[in-house]
Amino acid sequence: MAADGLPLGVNSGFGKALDPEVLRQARRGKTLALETIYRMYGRSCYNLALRIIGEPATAEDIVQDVFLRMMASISRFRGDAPFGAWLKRMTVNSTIDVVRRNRRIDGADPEERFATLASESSSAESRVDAWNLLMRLSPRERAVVVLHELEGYTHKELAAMFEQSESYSKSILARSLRRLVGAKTGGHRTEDDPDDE
Amino acid sequence: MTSNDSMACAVAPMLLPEFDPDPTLWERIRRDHARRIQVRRIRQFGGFGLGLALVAVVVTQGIRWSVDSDPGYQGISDGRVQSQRLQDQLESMGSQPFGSDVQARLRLVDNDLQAAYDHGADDSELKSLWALRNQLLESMVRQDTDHARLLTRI
Repeated sequence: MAADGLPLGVNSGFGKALDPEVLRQARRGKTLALETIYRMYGRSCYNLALRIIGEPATAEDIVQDVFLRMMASISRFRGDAPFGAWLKRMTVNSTIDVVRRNRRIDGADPEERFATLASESSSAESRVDAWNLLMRLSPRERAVVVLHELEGYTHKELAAMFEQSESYSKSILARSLRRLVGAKTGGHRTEDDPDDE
Repeated sequence: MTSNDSMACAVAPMLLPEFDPDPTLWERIRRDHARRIQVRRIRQFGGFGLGLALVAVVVTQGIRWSVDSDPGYQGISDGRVQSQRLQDQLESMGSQPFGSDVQARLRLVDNDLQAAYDHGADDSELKSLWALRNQLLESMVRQDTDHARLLTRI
């Protein structure tokens, strides 16, 4: 299902329906209603940001930024899309902003990372879990993997978020997935991947 | 191999753990939100006060401009300026003793002018009093000039 159409099984917290009365109270700035919204969606926001950023403190900063912006603009929320989808979009945008402007978080260029990963020890592959696999990618790569594979965003949407071409996100995705598969199985990247370039 | 197949064997979505944010995060957000509201109110109040001050200045200035450009006020102002000019002229000619009747009449007019200002007289009344005062001063200037001519002829 599409990114804002909800849900894909993961981060189902964004798919929870918000009680209209809570929304009405939140629009009037009632703290209790705003806290209810945080209790409903805060964890999903945090996990989405954390999967991409990989740093708990930065992920919390993103959640804080998202909720402050939500509180400032909730009076303008028209309800055209589900509230969770609206909040999820804000979370994604805020997270991508951090990835784009923070070189420290973004780390090395994806191409360089692939090169260094190839030389890393494969002895850890047997004990690595899904999270650790994901964390072996750079935030930019994780953003593409998480948003495309887990959150259902299209390459067109990703291209718009990163202000790049669609082939850019396709290329990053293909290489990231090959690397993840390789790390999981202990194999090496396949050279004849149809998505490659 | 499709990307979804890749994910099934690599980072299976359901295998990804979920973490809880710091329990104090909501409190931090709430405090920051409250602080921003406070700052916004202060700015709005400050802006309102500044706006009020600007309005006061504009109104005051507007009244002054309208008074200055009013023809009646202009006549009074002209009379006052002319009066000052005549007094300066008299002083520059050297103070000469004037007839007591002229001085008495000048004092009467000055008293009337003061009373007119005190009770908020209209422009026409003030204008006529200034005109009367200027006539007296002009007569004093003329007397002084005639006196000087007489002395020169002697």
